[in-house]
Amino acid sequence: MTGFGVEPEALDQVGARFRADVSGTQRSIADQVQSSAQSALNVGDVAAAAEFQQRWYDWVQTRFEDLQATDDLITGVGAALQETAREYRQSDDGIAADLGRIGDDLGGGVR
Amino acid sequence: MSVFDLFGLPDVHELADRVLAGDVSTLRTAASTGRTAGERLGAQAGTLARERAEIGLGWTGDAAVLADAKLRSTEDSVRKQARQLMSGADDLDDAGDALNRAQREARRLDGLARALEGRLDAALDLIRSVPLVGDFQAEALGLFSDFVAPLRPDGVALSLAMREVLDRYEAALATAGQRLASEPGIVRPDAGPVDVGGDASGRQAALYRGVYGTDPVSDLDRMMAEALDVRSGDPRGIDVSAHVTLMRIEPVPGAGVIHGSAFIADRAVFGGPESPFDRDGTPGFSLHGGDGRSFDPKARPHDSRVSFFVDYERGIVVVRQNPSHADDGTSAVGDPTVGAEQDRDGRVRLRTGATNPLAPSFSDDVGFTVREDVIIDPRGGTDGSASVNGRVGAYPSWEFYQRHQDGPTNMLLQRPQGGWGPDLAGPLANLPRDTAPVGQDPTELERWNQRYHPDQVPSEREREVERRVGITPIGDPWYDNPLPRTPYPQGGPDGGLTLPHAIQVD
Repeated sequence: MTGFGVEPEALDQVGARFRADVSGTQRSIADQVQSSAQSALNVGDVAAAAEFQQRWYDWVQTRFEDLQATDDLITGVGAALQETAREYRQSDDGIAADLGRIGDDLGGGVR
Repeated sequence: MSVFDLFGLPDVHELADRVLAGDVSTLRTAASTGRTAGERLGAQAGTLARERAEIGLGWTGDAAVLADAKLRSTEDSVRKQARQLMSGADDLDDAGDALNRAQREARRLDGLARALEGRLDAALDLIRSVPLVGDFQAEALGLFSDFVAPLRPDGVALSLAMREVLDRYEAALATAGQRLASEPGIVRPDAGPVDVGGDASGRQAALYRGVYGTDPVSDLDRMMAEALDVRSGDPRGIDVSAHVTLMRIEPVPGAGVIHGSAFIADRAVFGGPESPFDRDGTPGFSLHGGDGRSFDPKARPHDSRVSFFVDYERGIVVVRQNPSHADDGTSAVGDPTVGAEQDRDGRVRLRTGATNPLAPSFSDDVGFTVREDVIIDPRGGTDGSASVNGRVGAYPSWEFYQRHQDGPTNMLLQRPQGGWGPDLAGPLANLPRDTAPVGQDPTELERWNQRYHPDQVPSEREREVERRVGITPIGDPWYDNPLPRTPYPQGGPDGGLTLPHAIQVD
C-alpha cells in the first residue's frame, strides 16, 4: 500500500473553482463561438458559396458542441474533486471518532 | 451596346459583379471572433495547468496520480481546441484574402472592359455617321472590319481573364471549406452535424431542412433532397461538386413536381482538342463522358448534364449542372445561366444555358451551349396535368415529367438528341444549331414574351447598326429574350439558406 497526503480543503476549493469560474469561462467561450453563426458570411455570388457557408456553419456547430462537452468534463472533474475532498474529510472524521471511542473505552483522554 | 453582347461573350461586368457582391469584412469579423475565442481558450488551458499544479502541491498518493492524469488530459484537450479555433480563423482569413484578391482583379478587368466599350461606342458612332448615299453599306462594313472587329480579341481575353479570376477564387473557397470540414471534435468526436463520406442521407436531410424548414418524409421530398445535394452521385467524395441554382416560386398545391433533364445518350462524345495531359492514346482529341442512358423518369439528379425540378407543392425550383469529365481524368463544372419568372396563373418560364467547362474556350462564343426556354403550366395539359411548351436545344436529349405526391409519374415531353454528324460528334455538330420548338403549343413562349416582354427588341441605335452592317450576335431565337441570371443561394444566419425569388410577371 502506498502512502498519501492530502489537504481536503484545498482540494474542495479547486473543485469549486472548476465548477464555477473555469466552467463559466468555458461556457462563455462556447457561446462566443456559437454567436458568430448568427451573421452570414457574404462571399459573393459564386457556386461555391453555399457549400463554404454550410461548412463554416457546421464547423461552428462542431466547435460549440465540443466546447460544451469540455465544459461538462470540467464540471465533472470539479465535482469529483469536491467529492474526493468530502471522502477524505469523512475518513478523517471517522478515524477521529474511532480514536475517541477507543479513548473512552480506555478511560478518556484521547479526544 | 455591350462589346460582350455584340460578340456573344460572357459579360465581364456581370462576372465581376459576382465577386464584388462579396463582403470581405464578414469573413474578417468571423475570423476575429474565432481568434479571440482561441486566445481565451489558450488562457483557459493555462488556468487548468495552474490549478493542476496547486493540487499537486498538497496531494500525493495513487488517487493524486490518477487525478493529475485526468486534469492533464483535460488541459491537453482545451489546448487542442484552442488550436482548432485559431486554425479555423486562419481558414476564414484565407477565404477573405482570396476574395480580396478576386475583387481587386475584378475591378481592374471591369475598368479595362469599360475602356473597351468606349472604343466600341466610338467605332459604332463612326458607322452611324456614314451618310445613307452611294455605297454606304460597303463603307459601313469597311468601318466595322477596321474598327469593331479588332475589338473582339480583347473582349475574348478579358472574358477569359475574368473567368479565371472567378475559378481561382472558387477553388480557394472550396479549399478553405474543406479544411474547415476536416476537424472533428476533440472531446466529443461526434460533435456537430454528421457529414462524412457515405453519409449522403444525413447531408441531404440537412440541406432539405435548410431550404424547406422540415425533414424530408415522402418520396417527392427525398427526390428534392437529392436534387439539392451538390455531391449526390459521388459517394466517395472525390469528384467536383455540381453547381446548383435555387429559387422560390408561388406554390400550386396538387401540381406535384415537374422534373426533367438534358442528357447525352452516348457514353462518350468528342470533346475538343486534346489537352497536353491527355495520355489515353486517342489521336488529337479528347473524349468527354456522356450519360449513357435513354429516357428515364426515374433518372437521378446527377444522371444528366443538367437537371431541373419545379416543386409546385412547396414552391421551390432547382436547376443543377453536373460535372463534366474528360478521358484525361480532368473534371469541371460550368456556371449555368438560369432565369425564371412566374405569372399569376402559376406558370413558370424557365430559361437555362449551360456550357461544358472542359470544352474549348470559344464554346460560349459560338453557341456550344445546352439551352432551353420553356413555359411550364401546372394545369396546361389534358385532364388537369401539366404542360411544357417552348424551345430546347437540338442537343442533347430532353425529358420532362410530372410526379405527384403518392401518385404516378407522367411523361410530359421527350425529345431525342439531334443526330447530325458522324459518331461521337453530337455536341460539335448539333449544339450550335438553333433551339427547336417543343410541346403541344410551342408558340406559348412567343405569346409569353409578347405579353410580358414587349420591350425586348433591339434599341433603335442597335437596329441602325444592324441595318448598316447586317450584323446580329447569334441567330438562335433563344438569345432574343434573355432573363436576369439567378444568383446562387447564400448561407444565411444560423445555417439556413437564403433563396432568391423567381421574377413575378403581370
